[in-house]
Amino acid sequence: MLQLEFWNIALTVINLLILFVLMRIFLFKPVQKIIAKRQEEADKQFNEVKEKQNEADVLKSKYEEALSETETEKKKVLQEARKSADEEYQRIVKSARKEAEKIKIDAEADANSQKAQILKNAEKEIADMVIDATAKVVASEKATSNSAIYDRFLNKAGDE
Amino acid sequence: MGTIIAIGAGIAVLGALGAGIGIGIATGKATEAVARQPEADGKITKLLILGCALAEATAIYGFVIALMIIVMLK
Amino acid sequence: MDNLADTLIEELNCETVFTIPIFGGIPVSEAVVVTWIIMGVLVLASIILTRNLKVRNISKRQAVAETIVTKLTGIVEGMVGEEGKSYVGYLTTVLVFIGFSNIIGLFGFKSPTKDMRVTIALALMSIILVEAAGIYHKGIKGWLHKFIEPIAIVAPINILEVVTKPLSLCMRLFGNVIGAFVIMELIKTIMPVGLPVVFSLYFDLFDGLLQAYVFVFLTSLYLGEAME
Repeated sequence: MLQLEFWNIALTVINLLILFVLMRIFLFKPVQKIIAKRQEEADKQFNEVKEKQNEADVLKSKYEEALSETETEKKKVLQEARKSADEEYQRIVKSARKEAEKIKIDAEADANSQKAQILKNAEKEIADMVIDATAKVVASEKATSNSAIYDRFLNKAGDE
Repeated sequence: MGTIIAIGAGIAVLGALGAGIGIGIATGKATEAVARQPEADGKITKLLILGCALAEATAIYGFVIALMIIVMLK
Repeated sequence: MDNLADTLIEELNCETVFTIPIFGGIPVSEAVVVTWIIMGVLVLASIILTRNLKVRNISKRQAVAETIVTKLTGIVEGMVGEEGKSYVGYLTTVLVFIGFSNIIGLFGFKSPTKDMRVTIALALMSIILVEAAGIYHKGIKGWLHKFIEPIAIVAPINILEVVTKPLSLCMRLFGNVIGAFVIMELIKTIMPVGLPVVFSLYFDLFDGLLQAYVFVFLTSLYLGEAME
């Protein structure tokens, strides 16, 4: 237990150094090597995945851009269509209104002319009636002497 | 002669007194620390065990010397 | 009682098993023989564990090997830190060796650490490693300057420390192991069945492994101090 002599200490030191070297060769080195290898592989895979992810991201953004472009295109087309439809509508409405106006004017003119016609007819009839009546009246009296009265009467009737 | 050796060995082991007091104080402080910060439990335990192992050394020295007295003076 | 003392002393003594007949005879003690056995077991175990290593689809054996290596080196790396990475291999070996030596008593062998010559050898190697690391990292001038820090008057104490550090390492390990051993022997004489199992759990397993940890921890502490 308490004996101290040089050789056994030296032997233990040598033993420990040998053990250290052997453990290094047989346990630490191979295991650490394999772990490092795995780490490397994992890193590689990770990088690959990352690269792919980046690619996918780029593609995705491209697609998104295209998609948004079509979206704006669609909007534009839609807007244009709406605009043209609106114009068409306005045009149709306008023309319809014009037409209506025309018809109205025509109808008015028609009515006016008809009215004039009726008036004229009525005037003529009244004149005839008056002539008849006058003739009857004048027949009882002297026809020629009263031609002045006749004219006056006619004028009056025409004024009416 | 044997009696005196035994007395000497006994006195040497008195060194264990310090270790006992030291470990007692350390454990008390560790308990306080855990009471104050229960989440640092694991760390404190580790430190306590380490500190106890170091404080124990004084008692161990006393013991070794007592053993040496007995074995060498016999 | 005399009988007990005699058996104790007989158990404590490490006899010379045989003598190698060179250089006027090299005595080989039991401790050295048990060290050889431990070395054989460790090397054999590592060869078996690290046979046929693969990167993928690892076997259970390989998983065990990897776990052991990463855990042990992780513990030691936590103690020496980033600077002392090159010493991790040696310190891990020492940790494994002391741990095995302390618990090999359970299998009926005499613990090598129960022999003071082994612990002296371990402590000597530790202090040589510490001073060598100090010289390597700081240069001879820096290493010498360490002795007069923080002031020149403490130089004797610092020089004394070179002796007391390994002495305390050696004595702590030796005393713990032999103390545990003596107590276990006493318990065994009081009650040979049952009771020793409980105490052996503490004294042989827990204390043995803890002392291995403390030894490596203190060595790495000294290492860090020498390197900074």
